[in-house]
Amino acid sequence: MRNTPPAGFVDFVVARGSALHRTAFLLTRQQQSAEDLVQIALAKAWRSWGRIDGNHEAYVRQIIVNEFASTWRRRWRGEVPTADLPDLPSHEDHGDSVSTHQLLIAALATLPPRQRAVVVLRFFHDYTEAATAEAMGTSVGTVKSQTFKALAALRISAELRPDLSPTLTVAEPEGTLR
Amino acid sequence: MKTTLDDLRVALHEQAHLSPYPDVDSLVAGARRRVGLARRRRLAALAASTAAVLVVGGLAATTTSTHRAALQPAVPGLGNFSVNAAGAGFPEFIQGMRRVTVLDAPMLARMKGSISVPTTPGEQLSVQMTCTWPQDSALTPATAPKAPKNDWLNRMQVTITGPGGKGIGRCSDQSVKGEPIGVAPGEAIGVATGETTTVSANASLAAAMPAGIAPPGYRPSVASPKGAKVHVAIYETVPWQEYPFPSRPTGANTPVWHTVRLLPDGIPDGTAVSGALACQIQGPTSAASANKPLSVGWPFDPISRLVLEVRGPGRLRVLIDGTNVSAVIADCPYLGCATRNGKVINVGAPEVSASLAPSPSDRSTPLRDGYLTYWSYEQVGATMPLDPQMATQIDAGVPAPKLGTSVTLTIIPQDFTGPDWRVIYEPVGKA
Repeated sequence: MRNTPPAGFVDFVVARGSALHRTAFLLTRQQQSAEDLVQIALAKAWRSWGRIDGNHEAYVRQIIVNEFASTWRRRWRGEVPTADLPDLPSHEDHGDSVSTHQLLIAALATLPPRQRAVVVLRFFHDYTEAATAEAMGTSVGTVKSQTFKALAALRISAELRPDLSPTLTVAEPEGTLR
Repeated sequence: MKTTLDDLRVALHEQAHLSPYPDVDSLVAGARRRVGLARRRRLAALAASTAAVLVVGGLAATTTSTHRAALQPAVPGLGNFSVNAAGAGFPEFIQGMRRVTVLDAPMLARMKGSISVPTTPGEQLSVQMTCTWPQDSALTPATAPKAPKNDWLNRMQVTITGPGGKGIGRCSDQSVKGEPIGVAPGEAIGVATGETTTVSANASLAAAMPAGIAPPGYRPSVASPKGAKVHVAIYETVPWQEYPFPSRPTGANTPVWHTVRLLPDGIPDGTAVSGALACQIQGPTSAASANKPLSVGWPFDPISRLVLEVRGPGRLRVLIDGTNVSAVIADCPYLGCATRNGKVINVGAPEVSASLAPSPSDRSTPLRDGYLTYWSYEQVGATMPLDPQMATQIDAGVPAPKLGTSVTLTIIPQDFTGPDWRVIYEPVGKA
């Protein structure tokens, strides 16, 4: 059958579908949108499954991130990134960590898609800057600058940030999936 | 505000875990549809532009609508589960409990559902589960000698959450089709606090069978088995006085006692070490004496064993040297408990129990209001040491008696309708 999944494809979805869905859920924040995003990525991976060399999960996650970063803003109505974030309340206002976490997630939702993708890859998946750059098809310098801007927007304390030298390099042209 | 990267990492992980598990089938189906759609779009592009636009538009509309239907978005409430009014084979009353409701779900890779059930405040809630599959199914239970055609029974598990806890039931725990599986320690998920209680079920499919079970060359099955189902029964306890006990069997005064022969430590399998001469048996001989307390003194021996057997509805308390040890005995299976270094341990072994009575129940005994409770005419029992130290779990500081010192066993029965209990003292190794 022409629509038969390639060998190993379904096994892969059974084993890693949940992990991919978590990535998509962090990016889109919506169950239905996350499923759509994963399905789109899987459909793209389906067509090139036999040519993927090595890590299928990283490959599909790369599609998810790029699909989200490049096209999702057009699809997702009602969420407008803004440069002017309200100040996060102090610990005196909301002393418990639950509030802090909720505020961080709320603030994350206001980031532009590419910055949100960088945050998810760097601080949820613990990708290195180089791996993040590869996954997003961009340069390490761009990842650094996007991370810097994202953390600033999230109000992460400057002294607690990693070495994020704000080298604002010019972003390379968007890479395409190999 | 000192928000840290650790805060961010924790927040991301917490948020990720809020993500419901996706339905693997719908992910694959969605990808398939999109691939097909893209292929059709490419073909359509070769046609005349006007026709192509119409074809693509039609396909897109059709695919989108069917896609939405198949995605099965998270539905609050029962989700994939539905109420089975017929009960799915779960008894209406069992072991002092009443069946509240039964939920069914087709065996899918991910299933979720919750239900609010009518409950009685203060009553204990319990859950049982079964997995069923068509007779001609290629499903194969665990420990199959060769690769099963479909291994979902070995991988499917259901987590049931109640007001006071949760338990996990695995289809692989079920060796016989339709055999109930208790899903929590003691099968309990908490005490109802209101007129209604919410119980949720969350089923998932392990990625693969465990390495120790999986046969060589094993690959996980991916297709959901047609006709296979998961059934979850929610029970609540019924007060003793309100329980509909079964009628006493007719044609004989009582059910026949099964014979129990214990195999003590160090004795080879198949050796009868405790015949009638070695055992001392005490208990009522008629309905008139069924509820009279028994008090008897037997010599202490740390390796001797005491077998309490019951074959009819009733309740009783057991005291050793005046200390109520019923709560300890409640957790002792038929074969049995022993004391080691002042602690009660379970020494029952499956290979030993197989050589005993035809079908002795090996489950724990419900304890209500300090009484061991028995609810049917099935012979059940508990094996324990005649050792005051077994009370140390509930009353620390009881000294160990010297070998041969008389230890007093007291049994206080209640509500038996016939001579349906007995206690066997077995001085192991002295037969």
